[in-house]
Amino acid sequence: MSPVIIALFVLLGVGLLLALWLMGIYNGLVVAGNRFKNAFAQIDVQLKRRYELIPNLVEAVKGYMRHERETLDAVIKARNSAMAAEQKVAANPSDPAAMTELNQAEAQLGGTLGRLFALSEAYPDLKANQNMLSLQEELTATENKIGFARQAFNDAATNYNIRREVFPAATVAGMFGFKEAPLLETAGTERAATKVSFQ
Amino acid sequence: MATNFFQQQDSARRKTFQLVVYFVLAILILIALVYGLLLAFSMYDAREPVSWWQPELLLLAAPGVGLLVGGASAFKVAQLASGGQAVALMMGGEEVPGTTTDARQKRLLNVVEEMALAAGVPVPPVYVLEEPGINAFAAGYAPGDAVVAVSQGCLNYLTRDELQGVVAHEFSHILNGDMRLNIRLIGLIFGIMALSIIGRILMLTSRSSGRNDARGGLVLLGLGVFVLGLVGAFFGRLIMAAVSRQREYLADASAVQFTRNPDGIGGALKKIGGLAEGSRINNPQAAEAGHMFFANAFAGGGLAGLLATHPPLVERIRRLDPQFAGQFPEVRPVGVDREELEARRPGGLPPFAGMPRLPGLPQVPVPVLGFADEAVSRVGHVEPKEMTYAQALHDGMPDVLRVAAQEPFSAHALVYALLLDPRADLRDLQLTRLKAAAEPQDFAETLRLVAPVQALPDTHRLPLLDLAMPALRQMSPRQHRAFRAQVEVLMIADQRLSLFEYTLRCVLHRHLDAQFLPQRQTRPVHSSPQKLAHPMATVLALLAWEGQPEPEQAARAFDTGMRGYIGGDHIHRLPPREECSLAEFDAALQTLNQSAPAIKRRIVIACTACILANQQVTVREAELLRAICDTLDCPLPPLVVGEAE
Repeated sequence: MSPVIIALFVLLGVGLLLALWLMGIYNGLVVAGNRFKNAFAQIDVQLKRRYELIPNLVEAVKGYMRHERETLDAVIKARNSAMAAEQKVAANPSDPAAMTELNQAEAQLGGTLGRLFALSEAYPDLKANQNMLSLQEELTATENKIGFARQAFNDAATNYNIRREVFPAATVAGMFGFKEAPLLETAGTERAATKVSFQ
Repeated sequence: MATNFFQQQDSARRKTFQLVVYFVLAILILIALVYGLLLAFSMYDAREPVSWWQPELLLLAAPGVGLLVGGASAFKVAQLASGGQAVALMMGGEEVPGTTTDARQKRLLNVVEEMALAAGVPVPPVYVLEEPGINAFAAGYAPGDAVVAVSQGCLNYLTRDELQGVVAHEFSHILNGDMRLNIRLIGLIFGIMALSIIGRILMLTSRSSGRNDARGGLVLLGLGVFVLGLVGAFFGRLIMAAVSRQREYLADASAVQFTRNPDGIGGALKKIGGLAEGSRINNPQAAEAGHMFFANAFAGGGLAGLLATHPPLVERIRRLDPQFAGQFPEVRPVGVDREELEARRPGGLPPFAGMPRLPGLPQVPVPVLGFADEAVSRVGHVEPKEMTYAQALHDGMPDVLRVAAQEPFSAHALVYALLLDPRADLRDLQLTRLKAAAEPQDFAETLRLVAPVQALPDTHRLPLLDLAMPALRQMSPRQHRAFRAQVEVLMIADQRLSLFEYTLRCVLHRHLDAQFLPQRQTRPVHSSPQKLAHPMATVLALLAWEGQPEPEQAARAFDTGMRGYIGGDHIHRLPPREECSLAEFDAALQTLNQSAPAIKRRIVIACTACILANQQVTVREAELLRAICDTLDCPLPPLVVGEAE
């Protein structure tokens, strides 16, 4: 048997093992990627819940805050654009553009909601309104859940990002187009909502 | 059908042996083929007659094949080390959040939750596969890290009863201990099938490679490896078929037994026949996992009859419905009644005779049907009685708690609330510690849940924990670390480990830590029951004292248990109450866990016999038994089965 043939076989064996190794890395990236995409579903449910609550809130305060039309419109507008952004991210949580849009929309929504709550301080009747109180309570609970789920999502996304950046995986990630996972920023919303109290 | 959980486990071991034989055979044939290939090469190379026996070629072929198959298997096994979730994610499954608003997904979750409560295992995470066909699988190493996955087709086309049949079928795989074998098999099969994948790649690259002289060799090589791969794939299918086929009949029969409704699973099978997509799974990752599925995941071919991973559909249906004439129904998407989801929520607690209702009372006797033998035959089995009990348990859970159990943030606070002592002074101490250690919103959420949790009957505490398990598993590793630290803070705040705390820790350890921390695999090291008599006595002593405060009765219960274990006379005496501590109990239990399934069977018999010596089960006894069964990895349906006869 000629040395050429033997060399060919050794080369083949090394190639096979290399292929397997790459396959293992590839599958590991797929699993980590699916994990963080799945983690978004958890936030998604809570975000949707909050988008449902906001029109109710606006409805509840409308009667009292007649002179704050602009603020109320701004809240609804911010809520609608956040909702649109959330749907885009839900369709593909690894899309950085959609995530940026969601982060911005959420920050916007947090700001307007904060303004609404700040203004509502001036309406004593509103502070005593049972409906308003329970909505506020529910909103706070939802914010807490979003916060916890966001942390889990960001942890999963970070874990995936670290995985795809270390040396051999980085090559595989580059070859097969595993993109960096975008993080969900802590928008000011939940702090704004939890901070405002009616005591 | 008379088989039980432990026999199943033993027979799973025997099957493992059969499997090893097939596997070794596959490797030998692969080596022979590689040798032949090498020989052909050297003959082609030398252009003169060469002897067919070339030891140096064998030296090249044998380690080469061994390295490749072993390496590929090891890769796959390492990837699947984190258990069922890894399998589900690999197949592109999407986890259904407990808070889902999709009616079909909600129904699926309800069905799975009921089944888990009836089987006495934590609710497994539920995944949906984006596949139009009707199929499902369960995966994991043990009941504690199992996941259930169903295809979108199941949700679209199956009624609630049919879905329940499919889920029951998968639960029988979980309870029968098939899954560990299944998941290892994925690794082995991938090892021998890897060649076919690589052969395909080689042939493709040879087409584009430039150098002419090497090209011919590469094509020949690629072809050779591809043929080898086909042989590997053949054996892979053969192994899958061998382990899978007869177990499917068994799982079908178990599904009927669990649900008492042959139309459920029968209907689902008929719909597979009537659906154009059938039960096909399109995801290529399914190639080495065909044996895990509810029905054939691959399209039939010429060899399909011999290599089918599942028995023929018509045959499976006939065993459930002898009248079946082979006419498959036309399949249409089904809707979900909003009412169905809501009507199942009476809000109150189930009106069970003999159920303890007062919280905080440690010793509430509950009459129990049957004796030790019956109870043991129930390990890994679900009776319709338990299904109804579980449904009532599920529906009777107060809404605020059930909703809290569905979502990670509230669920982890729920566990804190469960750990709070009923006595006000101790509870205040625990709350102070928690306030200092936990995030403010965690603390607030815990406070919110304290009142409803404290009002919960003792019987509902463990099931509530089981319901919260999927949500708890969605925590990130970092969150889990913080959670674990808080749980420890709450447990040691009152300076003593209560029985419920101990059980809760066992359940959390077995089912949650398994996901986040690398687990040591326990291999059975003990196969002689006599050697384990001492730890057994330690376990039974505590169990006996928990069940009856009177020394005479306790001694009798202890004796009954020991006799059940040894199978005759024994020399052990019940130690005094003061000498039985949970710490020693725990150490003894860990020792017992290192025993073979046949011994575990005796252990569970002994414990049940001890508990049932006075014909009554207290909640504390039931909790201890759950801790025992969880540590030993044997699911035991709730012993509390309602009214006495």
